[in-house]
Amino acid sequence: MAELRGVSKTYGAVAALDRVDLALAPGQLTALLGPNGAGKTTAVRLMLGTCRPSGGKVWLFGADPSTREARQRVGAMLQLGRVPETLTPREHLRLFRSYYEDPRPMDDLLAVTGISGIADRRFGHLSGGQRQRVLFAAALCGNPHLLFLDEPTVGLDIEARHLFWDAIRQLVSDGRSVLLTTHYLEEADALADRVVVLQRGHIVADGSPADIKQRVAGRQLRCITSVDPDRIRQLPAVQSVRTEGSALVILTSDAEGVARHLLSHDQRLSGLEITGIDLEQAFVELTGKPEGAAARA
Amino acid sequence: MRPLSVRDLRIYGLESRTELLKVMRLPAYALPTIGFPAVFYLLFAVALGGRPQDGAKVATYMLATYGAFGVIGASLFGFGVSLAVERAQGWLLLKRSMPAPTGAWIVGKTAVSLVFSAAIVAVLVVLGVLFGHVRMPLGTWARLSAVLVAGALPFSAFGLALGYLCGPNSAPAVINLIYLPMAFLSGLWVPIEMLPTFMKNLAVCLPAYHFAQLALQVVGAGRGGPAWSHVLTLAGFTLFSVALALGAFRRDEGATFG
Amino acid sequence: MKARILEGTLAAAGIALMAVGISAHFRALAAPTSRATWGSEATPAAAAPRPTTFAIVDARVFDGTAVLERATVLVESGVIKAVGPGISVPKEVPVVNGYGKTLLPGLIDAHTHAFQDALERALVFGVTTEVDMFTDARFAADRRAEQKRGLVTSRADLVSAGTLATAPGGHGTEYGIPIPTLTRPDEAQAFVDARVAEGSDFIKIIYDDAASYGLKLPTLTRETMTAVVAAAHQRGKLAVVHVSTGRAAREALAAGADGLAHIVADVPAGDELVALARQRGAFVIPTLTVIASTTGDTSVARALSVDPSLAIYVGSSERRSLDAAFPAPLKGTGGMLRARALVGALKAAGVPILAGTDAPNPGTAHGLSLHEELELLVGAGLSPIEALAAATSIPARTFGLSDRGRIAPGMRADLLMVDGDPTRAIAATRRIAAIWKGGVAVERKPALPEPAGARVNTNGLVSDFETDTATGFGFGWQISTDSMMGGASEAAMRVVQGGAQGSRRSLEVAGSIKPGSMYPWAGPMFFPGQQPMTPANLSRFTTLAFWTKGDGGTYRVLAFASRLGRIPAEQRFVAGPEWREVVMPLSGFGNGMDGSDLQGLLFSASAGQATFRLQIDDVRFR
Repeated sequence: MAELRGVSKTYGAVAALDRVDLALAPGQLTALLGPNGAGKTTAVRLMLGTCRPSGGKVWLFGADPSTREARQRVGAMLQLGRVPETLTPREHLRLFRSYYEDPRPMDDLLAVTGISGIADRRFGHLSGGQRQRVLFAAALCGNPHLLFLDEPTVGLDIEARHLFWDAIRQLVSDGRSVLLTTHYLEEADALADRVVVLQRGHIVADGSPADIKQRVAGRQLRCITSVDPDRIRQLPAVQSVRTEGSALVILTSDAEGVARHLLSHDQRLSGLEITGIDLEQAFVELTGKPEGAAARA
Repeated sequence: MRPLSVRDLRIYGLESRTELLKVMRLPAYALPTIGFPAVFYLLFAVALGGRPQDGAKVATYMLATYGAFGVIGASLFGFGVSLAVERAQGWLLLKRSMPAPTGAWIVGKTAVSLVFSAAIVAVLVVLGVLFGHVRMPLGTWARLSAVLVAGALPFSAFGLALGYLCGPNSAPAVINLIYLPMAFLSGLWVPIEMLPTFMKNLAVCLPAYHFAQLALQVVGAGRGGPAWSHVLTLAGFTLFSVALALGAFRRDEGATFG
Repeated sequence: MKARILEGTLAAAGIALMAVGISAHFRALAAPTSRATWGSEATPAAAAPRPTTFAIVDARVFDGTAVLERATVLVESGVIKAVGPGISVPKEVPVVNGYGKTLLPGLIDAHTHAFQDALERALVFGVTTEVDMFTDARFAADRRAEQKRGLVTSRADLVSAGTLATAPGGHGTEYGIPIPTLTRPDEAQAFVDARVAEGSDFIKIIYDDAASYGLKLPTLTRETMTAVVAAAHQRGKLAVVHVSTGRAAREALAAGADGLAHIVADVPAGDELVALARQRGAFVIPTLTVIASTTGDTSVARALSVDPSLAIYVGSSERRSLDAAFPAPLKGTGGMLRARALVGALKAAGVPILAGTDAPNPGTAHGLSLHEELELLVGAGLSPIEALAAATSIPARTFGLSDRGRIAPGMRADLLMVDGDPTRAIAATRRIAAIWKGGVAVERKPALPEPAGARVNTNGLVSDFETDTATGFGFGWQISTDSMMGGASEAAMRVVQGGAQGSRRSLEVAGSIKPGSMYPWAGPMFFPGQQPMTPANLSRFTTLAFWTKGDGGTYRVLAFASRLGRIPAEQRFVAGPEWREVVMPLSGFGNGMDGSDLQGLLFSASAGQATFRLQIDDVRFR
């Protein structure tokens, strides 16, 4: 559907992408993760055709992404500073729908995104959540086969976020493809069929969430203990220790062994949990950057 | 280039209408753009128009110059500021990711410039007839209006370039810094004949001067050069602006990333 | 990289175009021309003594018959020295830039009636010579004498027929000036000799009973007309015959007329008069401008009066003249169509066509209307070049003006420079950039505005003459007669015993009206403004009232106002044997008169009163 083949993009001296290969398959939700500056936005822009690669080739539905034909089957929801506020959602959508050869019927579009009631209110009078939904509708208005969603749930409360997730899942089950970029790793975990991790212009991981987590071998042990973290780090089979509030989170390939060791040294140990690695942990391990922590702060 | 299809024309039309709606609902933009030239005209041409017996001649002269002033302002601000702002917000990016016909958004903004220019000309014409006692044959009215509205095009091109060169916060200031001095030096406020000679010579290098002279020639008050010299200068100015816009656009493509 | 090249090329092309445009504009502005601008740019020519040696360069030149697309014209001491594309101009000769402009010979209006300031006004619109078809013989003689003494730069030159030849009571006698007339063929030679003695440059004959206007005026018989033509030829003068029907035209041509004044409109274009004119080698002055006015077709005249290129030079009296209409329209003509068709046929047959306006008839104005005539001639089928020739070389050749009408070595430098190209679009003649008469640049002054009257603080009483001729306001009373226009009428005023309504004293006026001027008058004049003829605003009054008694004659009150220009409006009254009050509404003077711009009131006898005597008392406004 969409493909970056050996693509590089430099801005002056900085290489945002360095010989990246990435192909999107139909009927899949691909989450594109990476710290700031990893090249996520660049990759999306290249695939959308809004900028040209410095090297390599970009395909969109087998054609150059800057052509109108290619973009007919694409929809995008981008992070925008502001949207022209004096127009109503209906007016925005009417214009966007006109660009496409086979647009989604207006009433259907409004219903699916839940904005039928506010379709004729000026954009400037809408709440944050309502605005996001309008932008979502804009992405859907052309009945796209491939959707680019860039941080679609930023600023939404939990309930709205989960509603969005349901909508996205519905799209994927309809057979569309989605490329999702997000800071919320649990979002990627919840939605993605495939996770691609970018760091400094390179792909450092590419697979299902389970695969990613498995790349980082071992399990996660969580407890509240008085044992000095540095001493725990020195244990064999311990890959990393981090504090999370009053608890310690230990990444280890031998969770039971470490548990026994801790229990023997600290009778007062509590809150013991052993789980599989979550995506956040895997991410941290893979990129060396506590991305999730930054997002939560 | 693909030939223009009917569907594309519909899209251009819808784009123009949407853009127009967007702008007209901003009284903070629409009113000053039409209001300033009208107020200046009433003040300088009608109320303070020099000797009473000159009345209609001053009002006729300034109809041409303030008409040019208003049209230039509508084009520079309509294009320049809105483009700079929408660029920074990412809005333009979103529209470009959609399968809109090439340059649909340019057509839309140009339509807005033309509509506002026509509105300014219409308001000034009414003021001129009612309060300035301007009387001219119908053909002259038609030609004056046509020349003034057509002037929106070169200055829209320049606005396009400025919109790409400026950031959203600096755009209004930069455009004002170019617009107001250029208007004054081109003899759009005070008739060019009243400026000292070195300013008169400087004015000939400014596109606003040539635009005003074309309008003045229609009412018989031009300084005497052949009309094609003005048209040629404005055409050159348009090409130059387009080149500037293209360059700024390409540079802009690389500016933001992350 | 490809994009960079594209941008660079566009930018370079843009800058190149701008450079060409800017430099062309600078060149066009480079040298000053004596063109009146919108008021603040002083013309350098006005300050220094005006040179009559100069060169006009890079102009398109219409030399009277043909067009040179780009040429230089060198003028030395008011005479054209050289014309051509490659003329070299000596270093010290000032150069006038004609780039983008067209140079024409000064225009010649081949049919006017010139009096008062007609010739001065004509020059403002580019007409350097007027061929007058009937005016006061003494006026014409004075002008000719002035022209003989040397170059006159303040007005157009006059070539005149002086008094025209008409029957007693015929066309020409209705203007109030007594003129000599004739009835029999045997009077023709004496008549012509008298005209030649007065200085007439050619002989004008009226052969028209005005039937086409629904009137019935006496006219010369065919025999008398023929005799006058012969007598004119006997004295070596051209005979121009005024006609208004096809039949009269044919008869005049058969009689040997050298030219016809006015195109007729009652015969089709194939009429034999076309062939007859050709055969006789006669010329025709169609005067389509006045024909348009008589048929009510005033569109071009109206457009002229508001044309922005000319508007600031058009004065109020000219505007009124352009807006005026004929009382008796031309009957049964099919309007302008036939007139135009005939002109086209005459031109096609090779009959010389001359451009004349018949100014200042209603719907016309001196100078201004010649531009209309050019447009109408083009509408009738002449090319712009043929129309321009009709207003330059052809009338000059026809009336023997060998030193003008063409731009060629040896010709007098009577020149008109206009913006644009009238040889392709005739209306460009209106965009006058400069005018020269005999090489002297003409300073065109914008027409003066109508001064508003100053309000007068008064109860309305002008004079009761109880002690003297003092007035309650204004400048006062002064005797005014037509001697200032060359007349011989007289009047005197004095305060005498015995006034109206038992008052002690009144004003007595006595005098005589003598023939000799076009508009005779004599009597006391009251000036309501601070200075004579300064307008005063008396609009809060609605009537003029006074008491009068006298010798029973019919007298006139002539009101002068800014809006009327120079011609007063009048109301009449009879001064009977007993004191009687006369009340005249100010609106009775017509023309929208309301007293707001009153310059003067003249109490005058009428033309028929050889001697007169009347008394006036208690003159007041109410």
